[in-house]
Amino acid sequence: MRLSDIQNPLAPLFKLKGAERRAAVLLACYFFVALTSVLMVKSLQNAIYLANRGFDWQLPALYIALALLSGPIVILYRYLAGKYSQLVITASTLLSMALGLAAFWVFRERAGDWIYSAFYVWGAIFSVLIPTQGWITSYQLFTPRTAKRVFVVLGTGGILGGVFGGYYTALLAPWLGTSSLFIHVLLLLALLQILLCAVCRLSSSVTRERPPKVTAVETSGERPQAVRAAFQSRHLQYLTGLIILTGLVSTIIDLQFKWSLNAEYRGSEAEIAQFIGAFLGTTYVISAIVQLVATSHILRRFGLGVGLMILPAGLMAGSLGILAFANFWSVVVAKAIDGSLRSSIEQTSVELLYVPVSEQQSIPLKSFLELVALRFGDGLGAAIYLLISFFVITPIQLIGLFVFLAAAVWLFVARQMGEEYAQMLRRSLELVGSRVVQRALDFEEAVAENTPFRALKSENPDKIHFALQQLRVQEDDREVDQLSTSELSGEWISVDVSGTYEASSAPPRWLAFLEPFLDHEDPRVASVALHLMIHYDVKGYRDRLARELRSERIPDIRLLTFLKDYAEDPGDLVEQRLAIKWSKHATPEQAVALAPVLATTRNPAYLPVLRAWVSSPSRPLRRAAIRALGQFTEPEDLDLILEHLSQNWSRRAARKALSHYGEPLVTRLLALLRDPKADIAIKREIPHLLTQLDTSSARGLLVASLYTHDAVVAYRAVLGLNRIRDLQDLSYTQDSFIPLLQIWANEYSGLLNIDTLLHTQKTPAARLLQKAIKERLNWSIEKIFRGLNLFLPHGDAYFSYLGFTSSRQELRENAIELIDSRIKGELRHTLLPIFAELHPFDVVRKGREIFKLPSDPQQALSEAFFHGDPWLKCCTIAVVLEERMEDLKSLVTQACDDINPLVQETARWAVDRWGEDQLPS
Amino acid sequence: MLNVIEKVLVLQDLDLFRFAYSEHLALLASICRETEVGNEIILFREGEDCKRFHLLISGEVALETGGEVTESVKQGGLDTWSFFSESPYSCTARAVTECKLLTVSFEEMADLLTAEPEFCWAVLKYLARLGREK
Repeated sequence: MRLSDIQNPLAPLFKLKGAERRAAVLLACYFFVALTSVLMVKSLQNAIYLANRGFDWQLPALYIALALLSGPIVILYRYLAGKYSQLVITASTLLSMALGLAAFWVFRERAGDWIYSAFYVWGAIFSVLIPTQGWITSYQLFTPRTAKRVFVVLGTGGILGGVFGGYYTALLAPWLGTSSLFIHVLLLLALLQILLCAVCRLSSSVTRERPPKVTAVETSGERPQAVRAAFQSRHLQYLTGLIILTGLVSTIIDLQFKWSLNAEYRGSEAEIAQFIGAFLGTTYVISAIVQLVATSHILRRFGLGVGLMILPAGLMAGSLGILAFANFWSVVVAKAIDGSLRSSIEQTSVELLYVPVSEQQSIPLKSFLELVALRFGDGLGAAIYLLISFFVITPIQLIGLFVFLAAAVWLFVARQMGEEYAQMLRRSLELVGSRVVQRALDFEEAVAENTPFRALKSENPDKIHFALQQLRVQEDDREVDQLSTSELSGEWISVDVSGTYEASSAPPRWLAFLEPFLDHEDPRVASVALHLMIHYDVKGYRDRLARELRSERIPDIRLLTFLKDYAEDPGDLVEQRLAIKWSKHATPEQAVALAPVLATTRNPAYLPVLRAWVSSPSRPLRRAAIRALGQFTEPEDLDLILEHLSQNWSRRAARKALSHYGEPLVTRLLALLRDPKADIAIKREIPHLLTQLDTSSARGLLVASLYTHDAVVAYRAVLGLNRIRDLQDLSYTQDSFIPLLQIWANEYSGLLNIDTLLHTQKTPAARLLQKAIKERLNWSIEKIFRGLNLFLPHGDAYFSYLGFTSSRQELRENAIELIDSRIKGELRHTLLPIFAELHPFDVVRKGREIFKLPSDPQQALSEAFFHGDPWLKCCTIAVVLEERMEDLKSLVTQACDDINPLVQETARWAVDRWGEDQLPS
Repeated sequence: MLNVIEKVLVLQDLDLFRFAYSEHLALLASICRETEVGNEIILFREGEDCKRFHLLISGEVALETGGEVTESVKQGGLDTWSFFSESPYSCTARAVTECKLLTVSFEEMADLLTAEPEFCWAVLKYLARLGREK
């Protein structure tokens, strides 16, 4: 452990500002005073009861009575929560506690033995309600990320209060007697009221400074039903189970402790109060040490799940001690473990579980869980203790065994709870994503409602085409049958049973409307109309088809389009001799329609024709020829097609063509990726092609592409892998991406470093570099989240990205919290500064620490030269020229020999202009 | 003659490309042709086919409709709407001073927008906002 870990509990205070910090300080004081009073009351409660009643079956029965009493108290609380403000409820609670205490103090000597039982019950309620007021106020004030830091501070305040309260009681009780403690508690209650009033006055400033909380538990506008919510929400079900187990195990240990105490210090009120005071004080000291040294560190490094598992694991160890030694001190040690860990790491972890719950639900829910669930656990534990002690006179070892088993179950539930917390955060972010998806679905539904018949009356050929396609789909959309040339010889065509060309059903009435479309100038419209006509009037239109396809003249473009789109095997319909003849005399427009027909035949006799068309002056024909060549997947055409990836006008056609090549393409793409002289425009297409291929070697190459220097290649590669993962269940481990994510985090920090160093400069080149850097920063963040998406549970990274880039602070914090709960170890150390720091300067400061980034602008700019991103280099060269940075001139000169032609050109330009006064504007 | 980076330094200040990535500006710069014209030169006439997109980077151009000056442009696209809607020029452009322009053919611009959908989106976003403001 380092010194900074010991200082951690107070450090979060300095990160808070204004009203938030004042509220945190006041609440920490509240918890100090609250726990002081609780420790005093606990000492009083137990000392008075044990000294006057002793330990018998009635004490466990009281725990059961408390469980039964908690129901009415919760109902009262829910009623009050809906009617009155938090301040009114708190004031009423404190006042009623004070009155109860005063009444007991006054009537204690005059009433019968029942008053000790009543006081015991009152004390138990006091111990729960007083700290609860403070926690409820805290949930309303702080966001999840702030809560994680601040709750440690609040918990520390409580622990210090417990230490003080315990030792103060141990000091006072033998000296002044237990009666004096009553006055002290009354004074402390008055102080609590003052503190809470001060916090409530601050709360309006704090919540005004941040937007309303976004939670996964939606409210319907009516008062939320806490009990129903507890059983409907998985998160709350686990939380309820956890609380019940906590109460059960804690009560059994507590009862065993009291049994042992009664046996050790029979009848002495002051001695019992002194021992309990000292014991509780000591456990709180241990708590304080744990809270100071370990809680923050454990929660940040290992997450909430591990934080929740510490106490049950400790109790399992303590119960083994009871099993082994079965004496007073083994029970005291187990109780000490329970006391010290419960009020430190356990308390802090459990309180964090309430933070994703909505404000309206937190009061009734916490009161239900603390007063019903916890008391139910207490009652159950007491009943089990009674049962065990009924059968066994000295039940120590049996109790030890039971505690061990119960703690084991608790450990399991705690582990599940950690996962559920992350799911709860994710659900709060899904609300953003689901609205986007819903809008898209609404649009699709709207389009589907546009009936075909209205569209047929349109003058827009696209609408007509769409309408005809809809009609086609609505009919029996079976595959087009094969029509062989022999069948076209003149005999009636006998068709296969799929029936598309069987006029088996009566033609629909709308068929007559389609006749005019057969001659439509748009070939797509004409071809689908022809397809529909053939479906119902086989004889007439088939004859026409046969005549056209046997002609020496190239068929009409509309017919060629029909063959391309609707004929399953046009190779059987078109004679090779005629096709080659048509190709020689075709106009570019006709050749564009003919090329795909030739391609679908896969007849190698057509390859020379298509290769010749690739050199045609007509770009549409060249594109059609490239796409057609692709379908043949000839290795000798591969380089020709790849070349066309570098041109804007032919890129899509080349992509389409290459999609047919399959696995053999991967080897060629690997060579291109490795070749430093390969055209960067072609390299940038490689991720698209690999994503299309989607074989295991393609995926392997995609992963390798993530490491390229070019920002566009790396970005497209991670995009491709994400798409593949959406479709298939790829499983990557976190470890395989740690180096990559660290590189990207380094890249992000480096870019931000340059940006912050240049941000005041407004010259044209500086603005261009800032623009380029901002674009890269956005890509880097997206790349990092997409990289996380490759191994985190499906959707976690996506929803976190939406939340992180949202303008709403609450969503951003939930997103960071979700990622924080998912990533481990070294990755958290490098990524969290990027996510968690609000201001870019803080991110840069962390980046300089972690990645040793320079703080000098010229040094930072020099790093851009070695970055490998050619466009960034060009922008940097422009800045260096503009500012005449002599120290970097040598790097500009070196860049004149860069492999990338644009970098070369820019560097040479800069060297030529160096002597001039300013850049031309 | 301006090189790619110099053209980009100018293009980055044009409103039309406010939302475009800097690298898209570089792609555009690589297909743009630089032209210089003297004053009173007619760049294009109303009703002619719009085959090139004109980006004014320095100087002043008057846009005339029906013989009357309707707008004076000192920077940016000339008759942008006609270009993107594939309509004939809706006005006549006459250089008021010596002007420097970057021009790109319709075909090359269409190819670039098709090949780079994000660039297309950026231009569309600007035009949509312009349409809303009008």
